[in-house]
Amino acid sequence: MLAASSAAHAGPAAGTSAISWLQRAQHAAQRLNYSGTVVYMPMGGQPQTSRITHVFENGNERERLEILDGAPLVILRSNEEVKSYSPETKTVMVERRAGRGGFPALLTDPGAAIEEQYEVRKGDLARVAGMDCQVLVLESRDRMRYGHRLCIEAQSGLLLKAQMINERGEVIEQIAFSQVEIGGSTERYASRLARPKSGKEWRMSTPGVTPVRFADIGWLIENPLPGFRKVLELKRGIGASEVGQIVFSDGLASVSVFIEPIRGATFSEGVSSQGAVNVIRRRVGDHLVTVLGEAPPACISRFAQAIDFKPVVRQ
Amino acid sequence: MDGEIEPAHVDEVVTACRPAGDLREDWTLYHCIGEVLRSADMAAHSTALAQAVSARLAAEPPILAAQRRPAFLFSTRLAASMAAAVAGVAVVAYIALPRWGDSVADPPSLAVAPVEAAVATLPNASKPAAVAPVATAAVPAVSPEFLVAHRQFSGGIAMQGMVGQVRSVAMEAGR
Repeated sequence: MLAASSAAHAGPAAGTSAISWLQRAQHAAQRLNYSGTVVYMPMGGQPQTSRITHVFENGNERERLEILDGAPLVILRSNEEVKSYSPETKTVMVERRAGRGGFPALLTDPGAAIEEQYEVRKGDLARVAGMDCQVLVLESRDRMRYGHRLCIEAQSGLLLKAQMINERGEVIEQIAFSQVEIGGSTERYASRLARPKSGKEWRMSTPGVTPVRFADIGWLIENPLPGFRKVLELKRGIGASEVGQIVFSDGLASVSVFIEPIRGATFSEGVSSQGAVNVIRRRVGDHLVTVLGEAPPACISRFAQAIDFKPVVRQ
Repeated sequence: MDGEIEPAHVDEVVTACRPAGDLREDWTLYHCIGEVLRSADMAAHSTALAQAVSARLAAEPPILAAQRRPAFLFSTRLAASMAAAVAGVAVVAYIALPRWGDSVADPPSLAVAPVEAAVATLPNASKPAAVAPVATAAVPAVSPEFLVAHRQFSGGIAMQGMVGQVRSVAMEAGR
């Protein structure tokens, strides 16, 4: 981490390895002040524009993401606390991310772990949002994960553009800054971190979440692929029912397994896909298991097959 | 007659046909059909006939699963491309299956295994076409609550995981 820290501030050294560029990008995303307009483009879908502002001060992160197209939504994050404001429904959903820093923190050791599953190499120099950047290409070694093409700003290390690439070499989604400011004082960005005007009419909603060990209640969920590890298991209230969720991640790709009791006679099994996210649903005993993640169908299948249930006989 | 038979086998086949009265009748009938089809009177109808046959073929129910065939029939190179094709077929079958069966001892290997076999069989090409695209309308769209519950873990390093947030919003908007 020390190496990454110094690299982020000192700029790119000659011959900087591909993996250290990845570490710089991770570090820069957490530690830099930046603000800009981001365009998300799913394959075959409509572009979605958002505005993002991020500041890092006294070891604390604050971030604001505002969705500009379609239904308005403002997401404010303060370290691991995430509040989603929906002005149309006047609701604020409050969630806590798992663990300090939530997602990039999952990449505790981006070097070795990532390189075991992905071939990481430097590409050409490119230009995104008016800035020079280094292209980094990550290709799955076992084809059980999507590939990535990243453009990392040369001086700061901030990730300016990320493409996810499928088995056929097609870009299945892309997210990129169309305009961005990097660095400068926190005060400069303070006004852009404002939360929507709240009042009595806003309704607070907190998803009920309880930790649970699924192995203790009869679920056998073997991790089917190297590099993935279980990062979370809990039960959460979704609608009127309680649904189990187990999350696996390899640091870049993540797969969620949802377990819910089958109620009534109608339920559907099968495969579907929504943009980069593939979904498999199958019945296991009296439960419906939904496996989803931004990973190839073959990967999702492996997780779906790895799930078994043996009722625990109580003595 | 059409050059398909080896000269050495002609006598054998002709001898075998001689006592079979039904075969001789069939032979005559097929010749009659052939001559009618090739006649000048039929030429005027040929376009309509071709269209009718095409329409009937289009209306045939699709074959969802290829029959299992012994691997030794194929060369290794052919096996790779066949595996890719089978993977495609299997994915269709997989989607079309109403359910995988209630028994836990009956895993969905039918559908899943060929996909992986195809990936494993392919040479080390950088752009394999092995895994067939997954149909989008096979089952109802996944509940948005699941996507929201997943979003904070998706996105990797991109934009601080915010890509997960943006992705789930974009999916909602695209419904």
